[in-house]
Amino acid sequence: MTLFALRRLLWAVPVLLGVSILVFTIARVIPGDPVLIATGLERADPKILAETAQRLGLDRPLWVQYADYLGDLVRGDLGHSLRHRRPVSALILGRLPATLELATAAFLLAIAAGIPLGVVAAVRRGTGFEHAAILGAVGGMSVPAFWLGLLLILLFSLQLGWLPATARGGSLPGAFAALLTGGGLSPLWRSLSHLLLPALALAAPTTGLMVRMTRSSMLDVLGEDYILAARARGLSERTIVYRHALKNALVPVVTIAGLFLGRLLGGAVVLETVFAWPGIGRMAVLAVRSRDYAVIAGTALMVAVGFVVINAAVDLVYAWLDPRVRYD
Amino acid sequence: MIRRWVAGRERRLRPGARTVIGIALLALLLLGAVFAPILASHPPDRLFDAVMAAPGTDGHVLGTDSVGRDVTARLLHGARVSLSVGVGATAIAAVVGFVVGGVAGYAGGAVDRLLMVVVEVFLSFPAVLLAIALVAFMGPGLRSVIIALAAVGWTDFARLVRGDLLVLREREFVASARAAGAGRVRIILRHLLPHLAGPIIVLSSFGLASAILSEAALSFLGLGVSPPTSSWGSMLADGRTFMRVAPHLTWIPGLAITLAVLGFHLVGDALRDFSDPRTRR
Repeated sequence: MTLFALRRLLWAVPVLLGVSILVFTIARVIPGDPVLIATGLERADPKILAETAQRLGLDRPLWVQYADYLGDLVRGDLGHSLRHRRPVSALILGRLPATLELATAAFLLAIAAGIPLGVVAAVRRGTGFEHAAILGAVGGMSVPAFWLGLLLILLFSLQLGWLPATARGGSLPGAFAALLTGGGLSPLWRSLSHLLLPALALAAPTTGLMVRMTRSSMLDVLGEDYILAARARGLSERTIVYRHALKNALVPVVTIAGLFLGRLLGGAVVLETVFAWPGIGRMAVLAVRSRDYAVIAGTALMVAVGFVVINAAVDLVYAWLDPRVRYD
Repeated sequence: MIRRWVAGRERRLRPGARTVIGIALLALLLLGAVFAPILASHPPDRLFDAVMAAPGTDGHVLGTDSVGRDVTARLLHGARVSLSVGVGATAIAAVVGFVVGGVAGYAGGAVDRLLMVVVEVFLSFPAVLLAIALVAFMGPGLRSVIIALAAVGWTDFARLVRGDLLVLREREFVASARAAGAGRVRIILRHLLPHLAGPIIVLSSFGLASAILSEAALSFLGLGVSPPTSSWGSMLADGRTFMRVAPHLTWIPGLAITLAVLGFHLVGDALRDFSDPRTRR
C-alpha cells in the first residue's frame, strides 16, 4: 500500500508541473504582448512599455520567467489582481467555499436522483420506463445548465415568487452552526432557498450521466453468474437487486466521482454568473470582462491543482478500500 | 435461410425511436444552417420598429429581439455559427488527438508516458474554464473559440486512439505487415486507421455535442463570436436581460441549443450501438 501510495503521489508531480507550464503558456506566451496584459492596458507609450517590461522581468528569456513564476507558485503567490488590488490567492480562498457548496449540493442531488432512476431503469429493462429514463437522461445531458437556470428563475422566482432568483443566502455550514447554537431555522431556510435553484440547474447534466452509468453498470452486474446463482437459490428479486447487485454496480460509478466533480466545477463557472452566486466562477468571468488577467490565470491554476489533488486522494482511498487496485 | 439472414440484418438495422428522433433533429439543424438565407424571410441584422414583438406578430414567426431583429432569421444564421464552430473544433481535436494518441500508442515506453502526462494535464482543467482562459488571452472571436474548444476536446480522441492502438499493435496482421516491409506510418495509416475509424466517428458525434454546448456557454458569457453575428449563446444573453417582458427570447435560443445537442447525443448513441453491437442492450 505504501509503495502504491508513493507511486500515485509521484505521478501527480509531473502533472502539477505540466499544469503550471500550461497556465504559464496561456498567460505569457499566447498573447501577443504580455506587457499590455500585465498592465491591463490596451495600448501605451513604447517607452513606458519597455520600462514596465524591465521592471516586471518580462524582457528576460521565457525559461527564466517560468522559473520565477514557479518559485512564486510554490510560495503560494498567484500574483496581484489589478482590479481588486489584492493577492489573487486571497480572492480565490474567499470565494471558494461558495463554489464548493454549490458543487457539493448539485453532486448530492445528482446522486439522490440519478442512482435510483438508473437502478429502476435496469431492473425494468425493455419497459416504457426504461426508454423514458434514457431519453430523459440524454435530455438532461443536452440541456445547457445555464439555460435551465434561467428557466427555473423564470418559473419559480419571476412567475411564482417562491424562491429568490439571485445571490447567496449566507453559508450553509454557518446556517447549521446557527441552528445548533440556538439561532433558529431562519438562517437555514434563507441559505437553502438561495441554494436550491442553482443546485438543481447544475445537477441536471450530471444526473443524466449518473442515470446512464448506473443503469449500464447494473445491467452488467445483473448478467453475472453470481446473480444467476442467487436466483437459483430462490432469493427474492428484491434481495438480489439491492443486496447482491447494487453494491457492485456502484463501484464504477464511485470510481469516477472525481470526474463528476470536475464537470460540476466547470458548469458552476457559467451558472454562477446566471445566479450572481459569489464563487470563483463568477469572479473569473468578471475578471475576463475587466481584463484582470492574473485572476483568470490564478483561478484556472487553482482549480486544476485542486482537481489533481482530489483525484490522487480518491485513488488512494479506492486502493485502500479495494486491495486489487494496487496490483493493476 | 436467406429470409432468416435478412430478418437478422433488419433487426440489426432497424432504428429505434431515439435514433429516428436524433436523425430528424440533425437533419433539421443541417437544413436550417445550409438554407438559412432562403428560409429566413428577413436578413438577420435588419432592424424593425417592433421591438421584442411576441411570436407571430407582423410576419415575425418567432417574434423580434430587444433591438427589433427577426428572431427566426437570427436563429437560422446562429445554426451556421454553432455548426461551423462544432465541426471546426471537433475536426482539429480529432486530428491532433489522432496524431498524439497514435504516437503514444505505437511508440509506447517513455514517449507514451510523457504524452499521457500531457493528456492528464489538459484533463485537470474543467473544460469550460480552460476554454474561457484561452479565449480571454487570445481575444474573442470565431477563431479563438474554435482553437479553445479544440484544445479542450483533443484529449478524448488521444486516449481513444492510444488505448485501441496498444491492443491492435499486438495483433498478427500488424506483425505480418511489418514482416512484409511496411513502415510505421504506412502501418498506422493503411492497416490500423480502418479499425479506428468507427470509434473516432462515434466520439466525433459526442465531441460535436459538447463543442456546441461550450460555444453556447462562451457566447452567453460574451466571449464568443463578435456582436453583429448571431449566435444562440449571445441571443440567450440578450434574452436574459428581458426575461420578464419577453420570455420567448429566453425560451427559443435555449431550446435550439438543447435540441441540436440532443440530436448529436442520440445519433452518437446509435452509431456506437451500430459499430459495436456488444454495447447494445
